[in-house]
Amino acid sequence: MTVHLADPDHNTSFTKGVFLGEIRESLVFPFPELSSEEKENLAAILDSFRAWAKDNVDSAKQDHDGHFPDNVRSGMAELGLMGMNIPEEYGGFGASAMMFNRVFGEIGATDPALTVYFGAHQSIGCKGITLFGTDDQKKRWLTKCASGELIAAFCLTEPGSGSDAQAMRTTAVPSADGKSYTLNGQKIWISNAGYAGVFTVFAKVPVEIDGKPKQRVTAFIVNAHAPGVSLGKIEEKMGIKASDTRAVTFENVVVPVEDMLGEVGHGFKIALEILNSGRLGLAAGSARGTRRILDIALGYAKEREQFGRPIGSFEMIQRKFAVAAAECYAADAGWMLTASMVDKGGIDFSLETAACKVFASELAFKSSVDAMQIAGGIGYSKEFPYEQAVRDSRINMIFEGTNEVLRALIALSGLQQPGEHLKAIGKAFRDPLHSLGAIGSFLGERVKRQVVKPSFPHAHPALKDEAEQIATVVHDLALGVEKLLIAHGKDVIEHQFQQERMANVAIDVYLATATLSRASWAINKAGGVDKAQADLDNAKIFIPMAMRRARRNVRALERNQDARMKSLAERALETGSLTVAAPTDS
Amino acid sequence: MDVRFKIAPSGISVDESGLKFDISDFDGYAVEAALQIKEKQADPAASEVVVISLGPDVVQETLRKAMSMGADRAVQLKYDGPIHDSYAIASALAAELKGGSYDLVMFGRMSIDTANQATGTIAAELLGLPIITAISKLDIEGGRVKARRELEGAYELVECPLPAVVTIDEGIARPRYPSLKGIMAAKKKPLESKPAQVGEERYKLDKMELPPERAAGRIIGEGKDAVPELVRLLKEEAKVL
Repeated sequence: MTVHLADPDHNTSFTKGVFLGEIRESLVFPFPELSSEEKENLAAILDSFRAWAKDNVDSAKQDHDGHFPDNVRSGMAELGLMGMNIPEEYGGFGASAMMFNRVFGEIGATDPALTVYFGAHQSIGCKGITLFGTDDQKKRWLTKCASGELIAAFCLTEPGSGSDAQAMRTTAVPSADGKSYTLNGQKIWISNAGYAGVFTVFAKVPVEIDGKPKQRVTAFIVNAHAPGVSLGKIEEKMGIKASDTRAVTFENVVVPVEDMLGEVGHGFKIALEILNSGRLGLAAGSARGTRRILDIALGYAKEREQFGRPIGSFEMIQRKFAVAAAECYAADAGWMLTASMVDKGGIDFSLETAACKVFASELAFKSSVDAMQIAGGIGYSKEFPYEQAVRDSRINMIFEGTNEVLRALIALSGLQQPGEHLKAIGKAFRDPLHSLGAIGSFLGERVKRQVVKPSFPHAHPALKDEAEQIATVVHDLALGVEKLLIAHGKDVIEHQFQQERMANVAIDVYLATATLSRASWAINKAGGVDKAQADLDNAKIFIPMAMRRARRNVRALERNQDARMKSLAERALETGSLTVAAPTDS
Repeated sequence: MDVRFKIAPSGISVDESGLKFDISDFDGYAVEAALQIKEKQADPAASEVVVISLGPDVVQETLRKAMSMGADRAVQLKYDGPIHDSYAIASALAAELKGGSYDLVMFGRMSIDTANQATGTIAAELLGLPIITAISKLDIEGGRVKARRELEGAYELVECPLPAVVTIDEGIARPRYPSLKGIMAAKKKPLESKPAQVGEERYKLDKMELPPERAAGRIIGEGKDAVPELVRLLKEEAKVL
């Protein structure tokens, strides 16, 4: 199997470097640009999509009806969008990650439920076949996915297995003749289930290892119309209502051995790989969705007058727009930079896509709440788009990896290399006589790190202070990480207060770096700071804001109230209540 | 981002900065109608839809869009200056079309930006071909054009032999949206650019002007008491009563 996976031994990662106190600047500078041909293609695709959507997509009505009209689904297929990131040789468009995610964003800003339809199909639904399928599998399945004849869905989550994929219960048992597998189990929250013609399903296959029976997670391509496949009723959801979400049950479903994806036991890696790239779309969609709802709020703030002036002239409203503008700038910079990493290849982007997804999904939710607040009473009315934006954007913090699991992923993956490093050093200290060299170089590295800070030589001079702020945080984070690892060793896996802080620092560092890179590019491109004032303003607001948060988190690695926090939480969990006796009790 | 419509300093053309050009609506209907005629043929591959546009290089994008809808090839009649007289435009188009062995030459009924609707008619005259204008329905049968023209509260059915010129009204067909495949295919289709043989302009545009800006509103008072004053002002100042 070709392993595309994040592998620090083969593929370098920006964020994993950050945990080591390094700034791998060549991964993030210069900011990516589109070739003129890509620009033309993108403009033509966006033009066509917008014209079609204007005539066909009614987001509010679809939200109300809870489904897409047929012309919306057929239109997406006729436009060719359902095959956008499927390779050309299998009938798709073969879009780069940059193009795909930009279009993902545009669809997201038009109708979030429609991006779920679009993304569940090819970001995750048939992405496994694109990445890991054999030529025969691609010919049989992908060509039909590309034309939209078959809609794909991704079946990983189960009633007892969400973020913890190892707890999976679905099984696939090989037949005696070795020609097929029999699939049994249930998957839930499956986007596109009702429309699907093909599922990517993860199930445990019994194997024997050293004479002991084991179960290994394996991926399968499953015909959605095969006997034994049944669908649950449509879930009634808070938002993205037009997307079709259901449980899918497999009862003695026979899957021919030709439809096993990858090898037995590779399912978990395959799932991670699919999700690693898939979640970048959510970041792009969230960023563009943020802009759309704030644009609507901007229009309102200019029109709506109170005390004889537009409410947009009041600074409490302006602050909301300013912060959202800077954060949107960062979120866009983040997904674009990451998309270019995906396109370049040879770069481990797993933590960057996670960082972008966490940041942008939280931004989209917060911004839609802010937009609602700016709109006041009408923001709360169903006649206006704000409340739908609040409901629709909320899911992004939950699916394709909850933001909590992604933070743990960022922290624990980030800690891996420093941890291994320290373990080796630990051994060396136990046997110092034979390991003087290793100890010497460790101490030397340490001293060097204390003295030589990492830096961004390619940042624009106008952003020198901001670049330094990021570099200082990277430097301090690595020292904090080292202390933490020395204190806890591998027990750090239990310390999620700390993981959350480290992850938040890493996320802010990555978004700030992307912002630095984008603004530096914009200033150079425009030919001077005075010609790129908006870029400069965005960077000078966002980077210090993010680095203030990051410094607070780094400090809290050492000085915090974690023990007290834990006791509060555990008391509440034990009593099942947050209540403490009060004088008004009765 | 919103772009404000502005007149260029020359006073006889539009400030094009920030503007995005697109196929004029009626030309879009014409392209769609042409594609549908081609698709209806027993052997669609044996017929060809060619799109022609006169103008600076920016029209290449528009031609490319028509090819992404399905047109087979495109010709740009390159001309950079402002041009207003339909005769001058039609003569350049006729020079290109002459001897081109086209069965049907299709124009939009009018250009929606300058509301010009003479070009197709003049081109037909210069080519010596019959013309049917403002068509809302079109069939090709036995070497003849059969067309329907919308009139006020009625319609007429007319026909003429091929080759012919027609101008297309709305209602004939909604232009299709270019698909991703169409967009990629269009990049490989031939787009020929050659100098336009523009005829003499027999009229000149003197001046373009935007309508005067509306004066700000005025609040005269509130309630019943304000009515007499309002009536007086409407009579004496605005002179609308």
